[in-house]
Amino acid sequence: MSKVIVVTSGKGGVGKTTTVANIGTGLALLNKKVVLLDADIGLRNLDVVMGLENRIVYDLVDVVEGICKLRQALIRDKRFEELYLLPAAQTKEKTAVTPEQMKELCDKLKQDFDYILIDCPAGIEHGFKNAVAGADNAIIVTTPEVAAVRDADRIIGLLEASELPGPKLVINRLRSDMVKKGDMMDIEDMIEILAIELLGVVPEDEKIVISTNKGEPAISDPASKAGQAFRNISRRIEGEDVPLMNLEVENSFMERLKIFFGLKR
Amino acid sequence: MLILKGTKDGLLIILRNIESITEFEEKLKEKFSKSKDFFAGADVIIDLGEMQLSVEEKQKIIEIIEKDYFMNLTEIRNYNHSQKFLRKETITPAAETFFVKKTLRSGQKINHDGNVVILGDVNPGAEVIATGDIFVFGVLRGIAHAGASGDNKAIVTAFRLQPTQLRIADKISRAPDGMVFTPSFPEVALIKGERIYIEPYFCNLEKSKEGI
Ligand SMILES: Nc1ncnc2c1ncn2[C@@H]1O[C@H](COP(=O)(O)OP(=O)(O)OP(=O)(O)O)[C@@H](O)[C@H]1O
Ligand SMILES: [Mg+2]
Repeated sequence: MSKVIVVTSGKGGVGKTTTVANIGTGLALLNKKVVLLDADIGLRNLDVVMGLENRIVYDLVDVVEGICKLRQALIRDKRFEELYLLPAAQTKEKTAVTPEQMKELCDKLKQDFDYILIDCPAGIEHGFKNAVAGADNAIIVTTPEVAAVRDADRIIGLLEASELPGPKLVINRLRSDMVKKGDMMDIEDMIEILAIELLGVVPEDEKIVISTNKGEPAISDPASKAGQAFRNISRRIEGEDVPLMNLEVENSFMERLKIFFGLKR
Repeated sequence: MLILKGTKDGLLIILRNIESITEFEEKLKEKFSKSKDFFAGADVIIDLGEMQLSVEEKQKIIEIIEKDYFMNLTEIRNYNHSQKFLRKETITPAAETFFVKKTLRSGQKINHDGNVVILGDVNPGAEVIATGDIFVFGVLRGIAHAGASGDNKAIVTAFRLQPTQLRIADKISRAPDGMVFTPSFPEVALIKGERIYIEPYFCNLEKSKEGI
């Protein structure tokens, strides 16, 4: 049973691309066949984060337009045999692809992969509709900011309307020092408003910036706390019950948050 | 003397040799002391026999029956005359009420001619507009506008009332800036005088509306 998961947020710059790169690598570490699909046409950067920019010959639009075969456009990862990237077109218009074509493409990829992770562009326009069209699961990324949570809520509403129910939440760039001082929204507040299942909490971590620039997702760095959080998230996607780690969450929230994971026994 | 009788048209109250409204009130209190709530909502017919009442006295009786005992006075009659009262509709017909069985999320908007009941939250960035009342069985964090076509008797109630902005008829109030005390009980917003007030919500809303 392959899964098509779209990673989306509404607000830009909250960590969608980072999440796709890390979870994709994490699932590959768990011996899954994974393809990362960059649906951010015109502003691609998943290839850069994965360090694969220099290998791009064909892109998603080429595949859809029949200029090349799907197989020709898939780029294999540097380290993982079963991890692939289908890059976005850098130069073409977003409207070059229709939702129907995206759906067709995802159905084709399902035959060869366990996971298809789609990096969605910011916003709720054409690019969002494309990215969502072929997906059967969604991960919503937000940061602990009022504006990001507001946009995440809007996206969840749109997903409900387009019959893509049960999205899961990733809270990115949490700084427990700021939450403690009351300068940042806490996890409980966010979950209360969004009312969806929490998949994981990724702390603010400068290693993300370093690894992004190196083109090696932080998940493969054992010293990275964000990497650890993404490893946990990957395992949860695979259906494992992984408790939230301490650095992800304030201790006092642990008890209540277990409810959302269904860990209460 | 005051006699109570159950009939197919409602509760018949027979008055004989009652000298004043005060005496009527006392006798009524005696009879209903244990069963006041039981008769709430019942239709009531008053039989005066040979007694004659002034318009003011009748008015007073209607008030006592309806406001103190929450019953509907349908008829006052004496030996040669009957005065019937139209049954008042206390509940707005269901057809005018729109039920939303989910949480309204940011960017979503309901605009309805009538009452709106939301079985979920109204999140920040979501909006509910109704010409009638708005009831939120959840947390109201977004914008609500009751009595949108000018009805200043319209109300907004919520299980938790934490709106970004509230409007009733042409009055607007917004959440105070900064940290806000948020009570953990249901509240109601209504117009009193020139302003929107927020109060704890009690079941007998008609009472709090009276204070307008
Ligand atoms: N947990 C984190 N700690 C520190 N920096 C982070 C973290 N997550 C993301 N960033 C940084 O935030 C920036 C934006 O991240 P990213 O590109 O993944 O966001 P995005 O949602 O894909 O943006 P866009 O909407 O533009 O596509 C990047 O510079 C990234 O390195
Ligand atoms: Mg991105």
